[in-house]
Amino acid sequence: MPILGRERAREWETVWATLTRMDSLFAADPEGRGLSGMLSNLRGFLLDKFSKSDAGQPAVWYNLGFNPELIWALGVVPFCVSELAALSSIVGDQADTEAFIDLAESKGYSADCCSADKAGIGALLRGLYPEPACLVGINTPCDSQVAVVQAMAEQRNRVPLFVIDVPPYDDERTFRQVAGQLRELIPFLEKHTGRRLEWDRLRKVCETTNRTSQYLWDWMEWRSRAPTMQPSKVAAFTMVLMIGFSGSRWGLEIARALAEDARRKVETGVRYFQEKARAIWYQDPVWWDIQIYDWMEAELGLVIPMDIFGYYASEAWIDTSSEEAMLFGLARRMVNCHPMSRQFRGTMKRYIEDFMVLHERFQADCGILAGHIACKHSWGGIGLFKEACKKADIPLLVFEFDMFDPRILTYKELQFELKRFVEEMVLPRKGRAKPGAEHGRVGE
Amino acid sequence: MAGLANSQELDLVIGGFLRRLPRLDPIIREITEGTPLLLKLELKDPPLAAEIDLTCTPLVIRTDSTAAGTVGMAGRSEDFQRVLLGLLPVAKGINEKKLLARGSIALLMKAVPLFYVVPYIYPSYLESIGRADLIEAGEYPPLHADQPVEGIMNQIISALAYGAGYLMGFIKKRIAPRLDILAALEAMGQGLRKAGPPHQV
Ligand code: SF4
Repeated sequence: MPILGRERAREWETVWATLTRMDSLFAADPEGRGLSGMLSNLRGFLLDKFSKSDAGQPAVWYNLGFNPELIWALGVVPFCVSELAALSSIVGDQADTEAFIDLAESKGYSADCCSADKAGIGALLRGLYPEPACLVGINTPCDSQVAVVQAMAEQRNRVPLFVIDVPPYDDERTFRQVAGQLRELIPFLEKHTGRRLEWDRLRKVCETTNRTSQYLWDWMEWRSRAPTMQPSKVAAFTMVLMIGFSGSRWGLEIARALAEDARRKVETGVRYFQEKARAIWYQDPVWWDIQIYDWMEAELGLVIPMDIFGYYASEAWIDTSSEEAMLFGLARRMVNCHPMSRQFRGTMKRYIEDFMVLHERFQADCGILAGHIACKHSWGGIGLFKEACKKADIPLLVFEFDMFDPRILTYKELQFELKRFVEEMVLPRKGRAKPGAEHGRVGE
Repeated sequence: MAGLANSQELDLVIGGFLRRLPRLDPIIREITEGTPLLLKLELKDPPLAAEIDLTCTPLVIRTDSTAAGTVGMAGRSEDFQRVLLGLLPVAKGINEKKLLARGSIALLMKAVPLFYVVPYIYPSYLESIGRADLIEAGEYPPLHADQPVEGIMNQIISALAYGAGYLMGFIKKRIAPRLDILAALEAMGQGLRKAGPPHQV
């Protein structure tokens, strides 16, 4: 299916055609309106990018720890290098994501890297993004980002690269240090894109981000109620929003659609399955088949009210009163709110604390650590995490898998792990604590 | 579900319908845009597992396989029967978790249009096997109404197809009640195949 009347690479056309079909399928059902609101804004976002690229506007590539407000403010086109691979998994053909991963590995990129980055590198090797005017690299949230920045630089070795180096701390000094680097990034972007940054324009972009933040906080509030009415499969979308859409009107509209859908579902109060157990999904979501969350709800009564990719911390507000304040706010948000960068960048303290906060706030019965194999940093601290859960008397399921690659843990194997945990551990435990508690929320 | 209380009967009715699909191979390939997918259907209460294998030509239906399929749909037999009748639209089924989908979304979206078309032929199939009792009374939503119309040719072809359908319906109701609608569609499929190269798989 051509996009804007032009033939594109097959992978982009697959994403586009699938989005179009999904949107028209789900828009017809009132229960699907929230999803449809997200899908139609995702389509708008892609159309906007393609039309700007077709018109010759410069593109800037970056890796997934960066947020694109400065790029939007310059009026140029941001492309996260993992974008197409992620879209292929979530709203396209998963086989394309796997083909990107295989291509990157076959060209010698480390199999130990994050699949988001390997698949991003595969898409770069296939030449699927418009040529960049310059590259922005960042070393968060993990070492895998260093590898993908190196790959970007190798593949476009004549294109200028700016690297943001985030220290492994989360204090005021760190935010100031990163804000200073963002200030240096501005003349670099201006020079290579040929655009001048207008601070008033950046202010508007930051205000859009702030409005988006407010919707995300509202959304979390609606989802924290028990029973959770909005499907588990949208619990992780904050992450996608921050990487690709931050500061854009498409991101704002997607956040609004998510929040309004969550509110409407709570107010309507209609449920289609019995909620028996609530889990905080910690680590990476099952992007390779998000429909498995429907299975969890329908067959196990297991609900994921929130996961680490969905959690949006309260430090995200950007003060737009001055240039300094905006850069500080952008830096703090990128370092301390971006899911993963917030939890995976320093010690295990924040990682464990955030889990405990989510567990309490979202009234969870248990935790599920879906251990993405490339998150070596969290595997390194798994003992501390298990110990903390044991102390807090929280049942915890831990397994290895890959968020973009079902060949590591298959659908059937994942079903087996979840079923055994819920039926043999969580529900009997709940039953012992409060007889009949596993059905306590049904019909509320 | 009235009349479909066990697997044998389910296999006879829904399984029997699926086994007729190879006759419509060219039409099904048009609908699924020639995508080589293997759609696994897993029904329960009573159980039936079936596959529509579009990776080979003509397509093959299996009701005795344990293959996982490239995409899948699972649900209760009663709900699936309502999907076939057009009483439960696929989106509603998924949103209400009566239908559990699995696999690549792109491939699923290629398979879903099959369920827009089936409700036009399933009732007449039930009549042909003497099971008109399974055609539920109910409010049948306008099928396919939400699908985008792509271009003037689509409109012309849709109008012609509507005319042919109307004529078939008229003849079946007023003149020849035992008219075989599936045979007519099969003939249409043969015409499609004759007119140009079929989707290659
Ligand atoms: S999922 Fe893990 S390995 Fe991948 S980018 Fe995030 S922190 Fe790094």
